[in-house]
Amino acid sequence: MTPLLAALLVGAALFGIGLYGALSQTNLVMIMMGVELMLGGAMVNLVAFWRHLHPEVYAGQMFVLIVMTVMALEAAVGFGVAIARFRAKGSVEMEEAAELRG
Amino acid sequence: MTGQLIAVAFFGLAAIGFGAGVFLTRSMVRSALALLAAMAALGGLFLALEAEFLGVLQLMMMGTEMTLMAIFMVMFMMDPGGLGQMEMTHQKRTARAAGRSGAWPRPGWRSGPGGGGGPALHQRPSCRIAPWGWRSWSA
Repeated sequence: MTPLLAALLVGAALFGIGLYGALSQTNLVMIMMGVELMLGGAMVNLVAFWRHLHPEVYAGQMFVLIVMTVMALEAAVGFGVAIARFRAKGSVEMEEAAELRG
Repeated sequence: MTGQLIAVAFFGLAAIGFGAGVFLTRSMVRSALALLAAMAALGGLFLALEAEFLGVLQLMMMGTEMTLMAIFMVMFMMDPGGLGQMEMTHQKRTARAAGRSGAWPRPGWRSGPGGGGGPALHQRPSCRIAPWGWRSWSA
């Protein structure tokens, strides 16, 4: 087994765990945790491919920086939604947020 | 190469274990701390893959972010300690199936040079190599 394959397996496992969490949890903050894990799995893939395919090109690291920014933004927006929801309804349970359905 | 493989396997297994622990524990504070540990393991994994800048950035950013997340957990959760044994999940079977299909490699994933049976990906009839060098698969 090569480090690339090991890293890709780790990324896939993290993505699967995050997907399970994002779909199964009812609390907004727990759903955000699942999304964070999925993005973490994507970052592992990006770093592994950068390191083992084109280590001389730093565009791969730039992609990871973009994903990190998306993670930070997701947390900021998610916490904003959580605060607004908690103020309006007193709960961040997504089972009770049926009015948000499209 | 072997040392790097050992480091990648160690930090990868730690990240997977702590990542699974996020959804296995009933205490939300423990979940946040498990996620913090998973992200720290990812930082170590980046360092093992010789991406020093990203590894240190990951450790610093995610340490702060997960600490914030733990604070929000305690603020907003009805049962942050998990002492009330509340059920906080739904559609478990669908989620489990989706997670498994997201994580599990598809049949034939080892095909290719050095892999298992079957022709290499670029030799399959369904694979086309575009003029700009990217490969695309129709199946």
